[in-house]
Amino acid sequence: MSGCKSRNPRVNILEHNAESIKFELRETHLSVANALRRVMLSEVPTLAIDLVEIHYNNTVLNDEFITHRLGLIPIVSTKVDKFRAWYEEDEEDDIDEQTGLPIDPLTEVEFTLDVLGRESEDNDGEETTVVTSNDIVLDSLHPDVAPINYKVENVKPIVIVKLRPGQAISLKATVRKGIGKDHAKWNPCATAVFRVPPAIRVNQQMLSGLSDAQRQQLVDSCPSRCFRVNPDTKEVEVQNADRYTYDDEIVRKAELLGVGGAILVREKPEHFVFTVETTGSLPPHQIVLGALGTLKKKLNVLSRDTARVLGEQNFREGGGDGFPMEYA
Amino acid sequence: MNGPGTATNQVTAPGEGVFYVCGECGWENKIKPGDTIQCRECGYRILYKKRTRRVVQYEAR
Repeated sequence: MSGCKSRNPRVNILEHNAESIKFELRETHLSVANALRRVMLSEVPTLAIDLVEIHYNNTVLNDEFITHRLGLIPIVSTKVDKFRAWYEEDEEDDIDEQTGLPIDPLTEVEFTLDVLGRESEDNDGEETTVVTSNDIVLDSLHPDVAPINYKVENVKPIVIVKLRPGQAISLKATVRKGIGKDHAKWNPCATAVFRVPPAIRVNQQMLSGLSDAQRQQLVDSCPSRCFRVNPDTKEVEVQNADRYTYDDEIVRKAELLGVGGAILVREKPEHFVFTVETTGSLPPHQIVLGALGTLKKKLNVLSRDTARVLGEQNFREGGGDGFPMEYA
Repeated sequence: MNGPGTATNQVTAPGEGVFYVCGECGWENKIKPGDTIQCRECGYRILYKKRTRRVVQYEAR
């Protein structure tokens, strides 16, 4: 087993803001990069509305439609660690540092929404009332669990339904913890992709035989516009390699111009550039950290279970009375 | 009785009939077992049952 030695992957953050993060992951296998990407999409827990009790609804949208729209509203999930999802076992309770007692994890938080479409004085009394995520009333015990951009000035809230005078909506919504594998509304990512950057080698000696017009042709043949002719030295050079799409057009053009092999492109080995955008439920770096945490948990389960199975096997083969562990 | 689109709270005892909304004029008609299915105001023959007054629960999935 040649690939079994432990390694030290490196991470380098390229860009980071409130909505997205861009980072390099190096010195690790493609499978590790892909595992990270997949876990970010489908196994980082977040909060979302999961159950809706409709008390009254005479709007133009039916109950199921409104319920579905509510489910898709991103909920600020920074406190998701304090929650327990239905699929989690009730083992490892956190211990309160002051009292020394285990903290009961939360399972549910409740929102309410009550809006009546009112008549206005102007406009013949016909004015639409817009019901948005800002009209949701939070659970008074958990004010930090809220829809994203909740009552933030100059940020447009998420529209749920529109009312004409006399129409009304009244409901209770239950927020729960979950993962993207269960339903996409729990997926914290708007984008989670990685690409392998190219290593481009330009052989100037081979290109020296080409005329200026031919060089321009060569440069123009690349549809991702990654090359240019240097205005001073007239040399072909790489302009923005990170935009290269591995289309190979310029490589073929070089062959047609009789300088095959003058431009060589290959993938940089063990180098992955990730772009992760958030829906707003978690800060982007928290998605990456959450994914690493989930991967770690999975690996712990794997190593624990393999150790157990191997232990049982050894017992059966070498152990004295030939009974498996359960009967011993 | 009421015009179209107004929220009402009529409660009827068993056998007293049920309110249906006319598909043409929106009039609320009380229909008893054996009555003809027809609006008393406009004669339209398509009537709609009203929404339940009970609380209904849905999964947001």
